[in-house]
Amino acid sequence: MSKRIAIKIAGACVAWFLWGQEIPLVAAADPDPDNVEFFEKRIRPVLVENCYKCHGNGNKKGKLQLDSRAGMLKGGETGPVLVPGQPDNSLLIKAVRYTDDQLRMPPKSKLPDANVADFITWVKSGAPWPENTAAKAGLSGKDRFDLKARKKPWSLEPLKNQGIPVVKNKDWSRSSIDPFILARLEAAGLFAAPPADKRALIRRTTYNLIGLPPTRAEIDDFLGDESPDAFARVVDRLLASPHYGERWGRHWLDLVRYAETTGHEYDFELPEAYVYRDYVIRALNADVPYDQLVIEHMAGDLLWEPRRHPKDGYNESVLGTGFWFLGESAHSPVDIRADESDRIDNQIDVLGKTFLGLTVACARCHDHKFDPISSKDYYALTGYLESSRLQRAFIDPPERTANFRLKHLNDQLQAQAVEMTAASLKRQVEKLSKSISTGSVSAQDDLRTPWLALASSSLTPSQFEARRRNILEQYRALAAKAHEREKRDIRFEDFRTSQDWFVTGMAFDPFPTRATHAVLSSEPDHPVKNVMSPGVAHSGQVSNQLQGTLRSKTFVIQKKKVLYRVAGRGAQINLIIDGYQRIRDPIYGGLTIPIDHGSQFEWRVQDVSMWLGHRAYIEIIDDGPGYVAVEKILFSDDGPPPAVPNQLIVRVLDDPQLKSPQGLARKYEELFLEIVEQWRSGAFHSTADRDDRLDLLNWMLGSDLLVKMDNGSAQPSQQNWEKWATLLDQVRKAEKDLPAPRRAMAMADGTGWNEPVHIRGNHKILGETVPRRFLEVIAGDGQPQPGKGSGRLELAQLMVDSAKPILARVMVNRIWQHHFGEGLVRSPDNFGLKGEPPTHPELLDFLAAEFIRNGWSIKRMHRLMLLSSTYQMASANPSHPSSRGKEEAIDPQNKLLHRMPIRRLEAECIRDAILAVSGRLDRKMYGPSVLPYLTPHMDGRGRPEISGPLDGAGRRSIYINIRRNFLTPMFLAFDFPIPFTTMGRRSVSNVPAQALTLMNNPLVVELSNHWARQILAESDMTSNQRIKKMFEAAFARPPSDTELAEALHFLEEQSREYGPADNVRAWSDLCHVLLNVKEFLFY
Amino acid sequence: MHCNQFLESPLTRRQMLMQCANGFGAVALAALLSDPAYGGVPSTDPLAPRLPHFRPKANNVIFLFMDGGPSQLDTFDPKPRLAKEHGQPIKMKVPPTQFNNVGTVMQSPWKFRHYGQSGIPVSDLFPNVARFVDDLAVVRSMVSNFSVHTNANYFIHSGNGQQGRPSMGSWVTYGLGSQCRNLPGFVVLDSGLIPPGGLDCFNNGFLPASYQGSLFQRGDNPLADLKRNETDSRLQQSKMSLMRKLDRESLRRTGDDDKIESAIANYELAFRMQTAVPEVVNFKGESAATKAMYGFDEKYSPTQIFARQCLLARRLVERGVRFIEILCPKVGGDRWDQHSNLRDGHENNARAVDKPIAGLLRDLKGRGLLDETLVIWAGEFGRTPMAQGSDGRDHNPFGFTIWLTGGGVKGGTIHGATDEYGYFVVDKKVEVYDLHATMLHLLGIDHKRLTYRFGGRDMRLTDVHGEVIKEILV
Repeated sequence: MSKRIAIKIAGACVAWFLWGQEIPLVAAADPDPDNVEFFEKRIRPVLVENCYKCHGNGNKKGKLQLDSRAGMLKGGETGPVLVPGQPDNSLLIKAVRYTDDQLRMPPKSKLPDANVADFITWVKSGAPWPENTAAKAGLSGKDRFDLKARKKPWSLEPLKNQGIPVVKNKDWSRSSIDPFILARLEAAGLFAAPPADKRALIRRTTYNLIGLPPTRAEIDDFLGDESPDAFARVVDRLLASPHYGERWGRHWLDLVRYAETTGHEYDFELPEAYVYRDYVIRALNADVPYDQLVIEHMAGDLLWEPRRHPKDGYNESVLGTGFWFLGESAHSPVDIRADESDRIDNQIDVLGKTFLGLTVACARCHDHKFDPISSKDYYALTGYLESSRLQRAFIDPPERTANFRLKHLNDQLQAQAVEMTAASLKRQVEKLSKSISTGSVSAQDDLRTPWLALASSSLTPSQFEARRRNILEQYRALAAKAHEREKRDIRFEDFRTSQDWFVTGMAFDPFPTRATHAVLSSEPDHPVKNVMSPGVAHSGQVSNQLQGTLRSKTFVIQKKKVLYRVAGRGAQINLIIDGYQRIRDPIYGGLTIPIDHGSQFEWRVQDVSMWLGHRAYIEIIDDGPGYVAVEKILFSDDGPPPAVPNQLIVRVLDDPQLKSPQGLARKYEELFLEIVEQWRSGAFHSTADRDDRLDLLNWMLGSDLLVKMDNGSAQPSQQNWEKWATLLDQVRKAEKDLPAPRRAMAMADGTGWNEPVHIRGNHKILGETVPRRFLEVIAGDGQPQPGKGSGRLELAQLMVDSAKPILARVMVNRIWQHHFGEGLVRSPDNFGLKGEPPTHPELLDFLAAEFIRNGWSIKRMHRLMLLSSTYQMASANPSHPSSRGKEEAIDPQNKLLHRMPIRRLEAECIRDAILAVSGRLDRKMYGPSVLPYLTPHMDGRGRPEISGPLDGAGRRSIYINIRRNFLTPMFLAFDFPIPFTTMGRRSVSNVPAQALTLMNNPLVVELSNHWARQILAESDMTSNQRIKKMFEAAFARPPSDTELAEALHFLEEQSREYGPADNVRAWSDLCHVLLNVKEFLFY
Repeated sequence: MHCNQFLESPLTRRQMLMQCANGFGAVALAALLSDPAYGGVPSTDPLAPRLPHFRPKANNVIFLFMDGGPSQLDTFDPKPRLAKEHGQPIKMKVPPTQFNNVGTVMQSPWKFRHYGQSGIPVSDLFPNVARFVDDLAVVRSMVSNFSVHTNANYFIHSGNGQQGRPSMGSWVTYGLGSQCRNLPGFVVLDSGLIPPGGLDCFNNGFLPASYQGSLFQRGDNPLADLKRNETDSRLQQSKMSLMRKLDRESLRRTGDDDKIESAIANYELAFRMQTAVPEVVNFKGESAATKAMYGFDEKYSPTQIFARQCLLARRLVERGVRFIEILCPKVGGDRWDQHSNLRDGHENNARAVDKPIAGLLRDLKGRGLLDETLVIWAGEFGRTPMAQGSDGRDHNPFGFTIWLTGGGVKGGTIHGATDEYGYFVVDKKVEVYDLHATMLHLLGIDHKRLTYRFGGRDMRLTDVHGEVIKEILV
């Protein structure tokens, strides 16, 4: 076969790969015998030995088969591997040469050089393959993702309404849930357990809904209430308790891997993470509809009319988006793209499991192995995250920080300052001109002031002329150089026409700047420091106290440097590359530029040569008192560009009629006075040479020479002085009244960005680019393209519309699980084909439909479940006499719910319960977390400098700071989940550390003492009464006679040990024992 | 699938408990409550010894973790070319490094000598370990996927560069259970340096807490909450006694529930641990000669610290603890992470561990324990052949050296090779997955069959990778 044909075939194969069309494949012509021998001796054995384990004999790793020539021509995920005749263009050769970091085969060791040379020879000679079976090489496209051929999990089907089942026992059911449970029990010939006694029931319900033990008064109320809706009243009381949100908020935090540090090497803080925790608690207490919660999590930052805090008015909806950023993050990863891919993988994993109960992130490296989710689905979702950003959102209501009075005052102050400055400038210019004319000014070398160089009255006319020409020449040369440079650079931004910036906070509003904003000083004889051009982004226009951030559109880094022309104080500029936020040394320190040099514009240079080709955006941040002003942003391969000469000066000089310093001085005087007047009258911004005029104006404002003209004698008029001072005073007062802005970690929108498929999850091997869209299996293939920005809000809305059944099923299952110990689906985070099927599918669909029908109200769902007979059954109880033991035998895992299961309290509940019974609980809600108590066993980098108090200040466990690298050991012992991904179901293990904790942990001992002191503080009680009270606190029941006797006996024994003087120790021991009795831990 | 392949007993937990008097005691460890979080199958006693897949070569693992990344070029992988080109720019393409402060080629400050029958070269940093080269399989072709400590630490411990996956010690105890009733199955000995990434390096991840690594601190009370608060053990005893009575009383009330019974049984183990753990960390019964062999008498205090940990490791092995990891001591400068001043830093780190490791190997051999114990010496990556700045070396995940010895390992072996600079692996690349697969293989476990259902997948220590390194096995 000729080389030409071979290339043609290869080209056709490429086309096939791209378009997925089958084309007839021409097999290689039979090669000549020499070639056959070469192949059989030197090529085939090497292939067999080194390649076929993965790419032959039916193995096709990377969809590549190397056991036929056609297989090589067809190639795999990265395209054809063989281009006959062209070793340098054949991936096969590239791979065995071992020169490419990403493509090295065989993977473990390089082939001997002789083998590599053989392969090159073989490909050069056209890759002859002595068999005629090329067409067999699997060209049917079978391994492509075919959504239609994929089995759809039951959970994605529409909700089925099969009616409420008919049951034999007509008396048992109290709610519409009960017949579903009873029907299955009856079908299995089982009986439901009898109702729980009231004490057990109120204890169970109280733990379930608020995570605390019931108080004695609450128990007594319930016992005394014999009306039929006594229990409903308990449920309603608990649902209305503010502690409800704390209990159920903690369940939610398990789903979103909530923590307040980033883990990894230094365990840095996630600033303001607790604001998200508080948001969750408030939202649950307010019973925000679940579909609303979903939308707020996905895109709360984009809602036009966000939900606002009822009292403080701040934006609640945006806080939901904080969940995206609660994950861990690496410190100075060498491969920033790989790091981004890992972060997004985690975000998609949490998104998929939490809301959809689907393991979407499995499709990162390949199409999902079981569920109908393709890699394309995964990378379509990736695009949304690459189009979004982290922000510290300003959540105040606009009226709180938009200080219109301040703006108005500032306008007046500006006007007054301009008036005063213009007057003195005019006077100074006139004086200077006169001085030049009389020759009393010495020469200086400033490009903008050549008049000074020409000012010497001793020059002869020809000398003057020569100098004039010479200076003009210099100017022209400089202009040409600057122009030349400008052509090489990319002008990313000059803030003249751009609308592409994302603004947050009040500081940059209005945006970008007002015309000729004056930077003021507080000196009345010189109130204007300099004047900003309208082409400047400036965060101090209204007040330096205001804060705000500007974020650029996303761009690809094409030049080695980013150049910023900036001024400011107490501000910074960040370059965010591939979404990487933790900017720190050693690698990334240079991506932050602190701006703190003052009001003169200077160039700042950022070296980005390491990240050419990476995606990035710029953040201009004013986060405190101070301001930042940015005039220009360039991308360049060079340092700061040369200054461009002022064209107005050039024009003045470029006049052959100009013969003398006096003539020049007149011309300058004329020009400068005109500029000052234009500025004063506000006509400035409409002039054609605005920037050159501004340049000269700023020269005047900054010129010592001009100030000297007044010889320090200049004073503003008394009237001006007073007006100025009054205004300044008012502005300062108004600034003082500005509240500190409330901030929160949240998501912000960025430029829309689509991501290509990463083949085998490798970001260096890219496939087809996928437009952003929701999962095809749910929302179909005709989804609208997202509009401006990320399109996240559309995604969220599409999700709650198209994925309704699964959203509802997943959520009602979670609620069910927390009430009944196990979900109807026992794999709550996986409703896919590998998850567990529901034990009661009809009930699940019934509940999901009810959930939607009741406006996605979580509290109504609680009510529905708790008021059922099912929930109110006894837990461990002898079954119906006629079938004693049968229930356990037939349904040992209690899947049919023949009784309520006994459950161990979660880690946080155990601690909260100990706090509660001992009287140490501080019921204060919300706010920054309490640092964890640090034991010597909690060691490592990033350990907080100080330890929190042993008892966590008595606060509930949800308010204890969660530091990824310093998780509280007591919580870990009781299965607190490692916050790395969605954990809808905690494991419940039984390890010695649990017993050791309760036996020996200093907190438990301290709280036992506290409890004992509380008990003894009430003087008019007998020991019997005290013990009774303690039992009620711990177990919601009085002691039996035996228990009472044992406890009394124990007190005697211990007292004998301690002596009567130390009565509290004996009581403390009894308290400690009660906390260790298993009944305390189970409910 | 789940670990059920290891379960031999057809008994339900309830049946097992019923065979014991009062339902207490005899079954020392209680049920792992059914844990089908992601579609798995419920299991019973989480730490009961389980049969491996096939006959194991080793029962225990001691992992000597060389935190920071020791330099292969200065320990077990000599490169003459470095001396030849010392001070010259390196003649190859250098990939991005952690600090990107690429200096010139730097020769090793230490001499290499050949040792033993095998003649394996070892640098003067390890004169004591060198005497055991004929027992070591030196793998010179390790690679890691990460050049940052934390990710690389998570990776070598859990087979994944992110936080939250089970550590290999957790996988091993999950797979094999524990042979020891009074001690945890997976113990980490803290010598002073917690690796970057923190305690999550030893976490059970999605496996139940039963398989969590227990960090033993130095001193008499190595475990948190181990020490009773009562001034007298009688006081604790009487509390326990009342607790037992009340527990029984409430059991009678609620009916016998598996979970409560298990929690009750758990206290008995915890109670025993209060004596078993202090006993194991008490070296009174060890002879002066033994202690000296480990380096108890060395002047350098980090050596003394590491010596105690190595001896403790042997004592834990004797008691059947399945997986022991020993962390490095503080030596003043930094862990094995010499971005500058390689000479002092490596010298101090080596001085701290060389003699104790040799002592451990000798002691294990002498007691016949080395045959059933796998010892692994490894850092999270190696170091670059060119200098960072003038006298340090940067991180190098592309080629580094580890060694293995003990049960089932072919001693006197060199496996794989790096290029002439010692930068990239060119022969018989060994990935962290392969190391894990080999370790499990020696313990009698097929790494592809040791799985746990999580998040809809059957998770493995080796993910979808891993091949046993057959060449280094007996």
